Amino acid sequence: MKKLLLLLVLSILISCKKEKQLTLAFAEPSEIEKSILIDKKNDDVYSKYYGFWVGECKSVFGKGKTSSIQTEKIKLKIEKITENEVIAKTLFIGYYINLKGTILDIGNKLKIELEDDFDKDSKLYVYSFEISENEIKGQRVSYGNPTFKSPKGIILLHKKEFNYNKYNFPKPIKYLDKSVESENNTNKFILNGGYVITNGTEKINASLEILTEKKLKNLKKSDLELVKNTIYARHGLIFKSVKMQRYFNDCDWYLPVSENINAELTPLEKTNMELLTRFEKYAKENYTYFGR
Amino acid sequence: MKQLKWLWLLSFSYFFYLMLQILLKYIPFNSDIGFLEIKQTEVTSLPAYLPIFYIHVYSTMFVLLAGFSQFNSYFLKKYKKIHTTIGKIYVYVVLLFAAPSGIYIGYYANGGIISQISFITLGILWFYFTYNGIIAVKNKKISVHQKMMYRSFALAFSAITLRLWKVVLVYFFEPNPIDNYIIISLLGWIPNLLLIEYLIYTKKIKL
Repeated sequence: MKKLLLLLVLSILISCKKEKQLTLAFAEPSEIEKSILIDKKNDDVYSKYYGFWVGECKSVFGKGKTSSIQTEKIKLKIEKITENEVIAKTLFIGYYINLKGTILDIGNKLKIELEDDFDKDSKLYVYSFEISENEIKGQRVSYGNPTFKSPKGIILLHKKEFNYNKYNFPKPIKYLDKSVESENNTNKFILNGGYVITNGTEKINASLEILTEKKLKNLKKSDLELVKNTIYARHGLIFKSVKMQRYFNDCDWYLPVSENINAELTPLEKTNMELLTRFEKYAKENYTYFGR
Repeated sequence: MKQLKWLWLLSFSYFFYLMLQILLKYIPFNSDIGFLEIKQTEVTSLPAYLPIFYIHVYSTMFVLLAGFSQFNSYFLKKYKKIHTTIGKIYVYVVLLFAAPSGIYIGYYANGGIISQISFITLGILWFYFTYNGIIAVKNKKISVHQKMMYRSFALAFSAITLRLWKVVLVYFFEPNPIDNYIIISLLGWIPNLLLIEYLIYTKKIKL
């Protein structure tokens, strides 16, 4: 009987222990699970660098007194960084170019080398820079673009989040060159990117106010295009039109995040868009033709 | 002079054809085509605008038709009856439809006060010359009839000259649409009238 009692006690004890082990297994991850988590953590180390980086590339050309600085806005998107590869994109005229490269971890910074995946003869960009949590500093070499007089440029970029802001506006108007100014045509302005608009157009905000026919009647096709596309730009559309892409690329607030933003339009913008499209069509079909 | 007549007939036919093409845009009847694309404010807020606009558009062809026959002295002598018939059509269409509708849509013209005044004046003068022209012929005052009808048609012809000036100005100066519109609202008919007055005054037109 004593033996029997001992057995019972023992069995109870054992079962208790098993139960305890079970609950423990739930609370703490197994070895395999632990290793997966660690791997993820390792990846996430670099996630703080992911996203958009915007800024300028400055290149000096000429020598001595005749030298001057050419500035170009740059939009770079870092998509993925692993120990042996960096995947990024940069905005070229009207589309994104894929960039690939390598990293070198040097403590609180990363050294990154990036280049596009075109053939050697048609290569466009080679980047090499140091990236910290809020700054990219380095250089970019660009090939094959005749407008860049000096291929090598210093880049300085900062991280930027996409935000829709209905108050965003095209850049202030300015004359591109003196030849335009001397024509004494007070009604025309050339915006950055060579875009000609009628004075006053840049003040029309189609994301903020209901547009009327009266307000649009005196606008030319290019003006209407600008007012309309500024709506798209606020929502971060990647423009297919070279003209638009060049123009909005110069706006600091513009971040090209999506190829289709129609679902994001506000009701006000949709209404205005209809009117703008109608006027654009009318301008296109009538302005230079016999008729009113 | 004979060559000039052929030149007139040829160029007038060409512009008549262009006007016909514009007219065809408005067939079938639609509330938001052509010029109406930028006139939706009026179309939706004024019930009378659309019908009156269409009366004006459709009456053009009957009015311009007069340009082929009515001022040709040979035709006039040989086919007097046809001259009278086409003339009657012209007069009734202008007095009952084209001129009043023109004054109405002129009141809502693009470009504000200057083009409004311009188009309304054009409409009133057009009506006035046409009316006096028909009264004169009824009273057998042929010379007055001729003068008045030349003036009347010079103004009717502004439908073509206005559009022609527009193309010319856009080609050379690329003005903004409404700025251009204000200019052509004046340039469309005032030079026409001045030219006719000059031709009448210097007796270059056989009366």
